[in-house]
Amino acid sequence: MERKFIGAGLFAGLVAGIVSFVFARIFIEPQVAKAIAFEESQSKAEEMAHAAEHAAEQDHHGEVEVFSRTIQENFGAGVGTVVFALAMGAFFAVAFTVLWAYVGRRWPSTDPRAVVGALGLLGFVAAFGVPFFVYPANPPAVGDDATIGERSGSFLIITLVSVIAMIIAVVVALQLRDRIGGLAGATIAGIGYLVVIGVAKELLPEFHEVPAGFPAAVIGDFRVYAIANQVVLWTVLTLVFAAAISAFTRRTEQAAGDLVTAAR
Amino acid sequence: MTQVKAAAPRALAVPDLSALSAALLLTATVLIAALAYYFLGYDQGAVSVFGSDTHVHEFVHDARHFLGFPCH
Repeated sequence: MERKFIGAGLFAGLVAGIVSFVFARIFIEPQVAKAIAFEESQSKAEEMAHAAEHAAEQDHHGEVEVFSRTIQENFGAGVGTVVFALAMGAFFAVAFTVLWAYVGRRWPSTDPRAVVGALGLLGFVAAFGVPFFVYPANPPAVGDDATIGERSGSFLIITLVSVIAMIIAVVVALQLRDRIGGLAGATIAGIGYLVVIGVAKELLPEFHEVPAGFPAAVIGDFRVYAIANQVVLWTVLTLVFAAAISAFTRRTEQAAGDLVTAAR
Repeated sequence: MTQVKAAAPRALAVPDLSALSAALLLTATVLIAALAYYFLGYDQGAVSVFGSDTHVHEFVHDARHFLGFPCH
């Protein structure tokens, strides 16, 4: 069964990745293009001053643009988004397998689709929502090249802390369910998760690197669409995975029915 | 007596391979997905597995921004 779950996760990830890429290509790419236009206008003066030097350097290394903008915004972005969604689908399937192995055994009357829905919501919050809240996404040209290492490290740390804390919170909530009730257990686990995130956010560095004169509307639109993009991705992923689980469930019921008929 | 002992069938618990293979499958899935996530979001930003090459970074540059990863 776990093989089927992983297959369903990868399929759901593929569909979610394609839908999310179409969304991003339509709504986010124009913001990226505006940001790159700003970047180029800002560096034009600087480039003119260093024109001779820059040309010599390019000749020396043989380095021109590795991939054209057209390739980056279409093929590269498409492949990247689908790979991301496939990875999320794989994580989703593994998390569901483990969760359902416990929940389905302990509370057999639970609808597996409810578990899928809860997992989709918690996955969105833990893997994207909280890291975005601590380090909001930025279009190109926002962010100092010198801090890219520190920013990547901090982003990875908050993502890992968030996902691990969420896993622990779910385990705690399930352990408390029979003792103090589902709602009370989930509330305690939720507060614990938020405390961990609050402490981590306080300990991690902050970055304020928006260059002077950068259009605020571009950052605003970019961030809204970046959130919407992940809402689209996680919604499609969750719904397709739930549909696949339903198909497996029906098939199992059918098989059980066939067995009963055969036994008669 | 020692002969009887030697003749007695050895009782070694048979490992439950179905549970083991499930665990291996789940672990391998997580590892591969984590590797894909790393290359997509982090490689050639702060760190680089294949030296100072920027092909992966440039190729997925727009996807990185779309997905909210830190970038230049």
